[in-house]
Amino acid sequence: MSSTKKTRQPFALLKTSVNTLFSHSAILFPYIIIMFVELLIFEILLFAPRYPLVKFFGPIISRLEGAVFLHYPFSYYILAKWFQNNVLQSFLFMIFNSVFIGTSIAIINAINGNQPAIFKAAFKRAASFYVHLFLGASLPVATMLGLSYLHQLVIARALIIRSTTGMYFIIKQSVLISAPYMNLLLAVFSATLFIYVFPAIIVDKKKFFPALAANFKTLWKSFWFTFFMLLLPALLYLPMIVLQSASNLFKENVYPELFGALAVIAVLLSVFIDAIHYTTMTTYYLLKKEEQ
Amino acid sequence: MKKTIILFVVILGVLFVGLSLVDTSDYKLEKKLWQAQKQFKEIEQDPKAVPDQNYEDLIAQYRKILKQHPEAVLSRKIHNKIGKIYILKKDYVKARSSFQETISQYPDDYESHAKSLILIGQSFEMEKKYDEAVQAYRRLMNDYGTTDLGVNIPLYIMHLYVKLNKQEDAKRALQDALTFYSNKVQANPGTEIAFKSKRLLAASYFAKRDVKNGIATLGGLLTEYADSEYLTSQQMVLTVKTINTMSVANLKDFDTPIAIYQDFLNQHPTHKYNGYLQQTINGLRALKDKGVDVRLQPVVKKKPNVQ
Repeated sequence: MSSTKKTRQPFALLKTSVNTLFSHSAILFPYIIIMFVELLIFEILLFAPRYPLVKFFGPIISRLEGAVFLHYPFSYYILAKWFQNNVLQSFLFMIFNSVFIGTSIAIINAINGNQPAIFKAAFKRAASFYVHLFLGASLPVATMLGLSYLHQLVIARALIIRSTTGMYFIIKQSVLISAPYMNLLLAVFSATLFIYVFPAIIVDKKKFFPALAANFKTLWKSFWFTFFMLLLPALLYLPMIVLQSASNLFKENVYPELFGALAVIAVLLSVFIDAIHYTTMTTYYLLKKEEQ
Repeated sequence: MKKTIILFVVILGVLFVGLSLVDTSDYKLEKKLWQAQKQFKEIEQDPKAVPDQNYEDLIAQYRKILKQHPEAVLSRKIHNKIGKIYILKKDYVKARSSFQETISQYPDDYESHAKSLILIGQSFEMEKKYDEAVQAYRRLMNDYGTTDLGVNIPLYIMHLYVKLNKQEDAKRALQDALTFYSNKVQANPGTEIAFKSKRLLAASYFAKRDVKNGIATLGGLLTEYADSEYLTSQQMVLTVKTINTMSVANLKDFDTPIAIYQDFLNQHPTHKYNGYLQQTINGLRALKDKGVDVRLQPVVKKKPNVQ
């Protein structure tokens, strides 16, 4: 895994990381657990408007969305909306995903040190840093939520524009059409800012604040490289944006199940992209460490 | 690790199958009806271009759903849906027979009966058999007058006669409507049906050009239903705007609406709509002081340019 030449070659580093991810299934295993939990939540939400779960979820759905959303086909719109909900996914990322991403990083570290990749040991190590991982996970989440809020303000301003031709109209259309792509870019930017916090906690056994300092130290010399490295795998998400935008436009003509299917694929794809992100950047972090 | 992954798949599979099996809701029926409705909409877009087989397939689909879910409440709509397919096919006799099935098969479902009778009436109208249409509407009025559809039908009959240019019949229908709504108001005090009937009674007075009685009825509606859930904000605004329009534009009378609203304010000093009513009173007073002449805008039909 260690090769100093590869540290600044994005494609070579990415290729090595993806190969590592698939050749050492132990690294992938924590992400499979995350995917399992996501699918479990999806199934519960899928059956939420039906008996017997409707007994619990029915009043919540009726109150928050309206009684009509307890019935087909509207229930699928809620399924997609709730499952991809920012609050739910952020909460999961901080509470649950953080410790399993940490576990995966501990496994990469073990493999890099020619030690056996044992899930139990890696999980133990990650769990012992749970509070720091939780805090480390909350930073990109908070940044993303803040940037999304600002982005929403821009969208709200664009919606006020009444022009149907000319420069203002072009600005309005650009802001509205680019919104989901902009959101992806903001997510990549937020992740870039704190991507080395997890490796610093797990690899160097640092606490939250020293890990944050180490993160910025690494990022200081390689911000654009890191951004590019995270952007490349994130581009896998582009077809999902196109499909979800198109299915929303042709809501009347597509089967509602498609909304549910796209939501679950989108979330699973995000987890897979996270797996590539953290494997690549942990590899880079370890290579940089070896260089020093 | 493989064992764990298999365990995950089994858990997800068992949960899915388990929840599907214990599901006793109408979810599957809703899905089937939605799919059938989708096909109906496709046929509805261009009924002439659709081959006969498509109509028959859709009817067969509906009958199959009915057979699979005979007891479900949603299934009660299926005969009417089949009837609507026959309407698109212009097979009015079969359509009416299907609508009639709803009435005979679900004797306790008044709302569905009312819907069937409306559809029967409409099918007669499409065939220009107006006497039969009115007969169906009158049955709806007499037997299902407390349903949502039934309460609106007396005025509809009047409008139908006006459309057919049968002035004498329209007058009689209007008189019937006035009697119908007055009876409903008296027989069901404080109920939703009485609230709707009172509103429609006012509309009937306006149709009779008895504007004063119409305004008085609406004024009474406001006071009587001030604390009722039926007087929603939309109903409040609609009623106030109707009173203002009819009184100011028709009778040049600013004082009656002001008196109605003032009376309301005095009787209900802490009512949530008081701010709105006070604003309306101020507006009306300002218009009166300025001597503004408010008129209803006549609908002007644009004449084509003739050279």
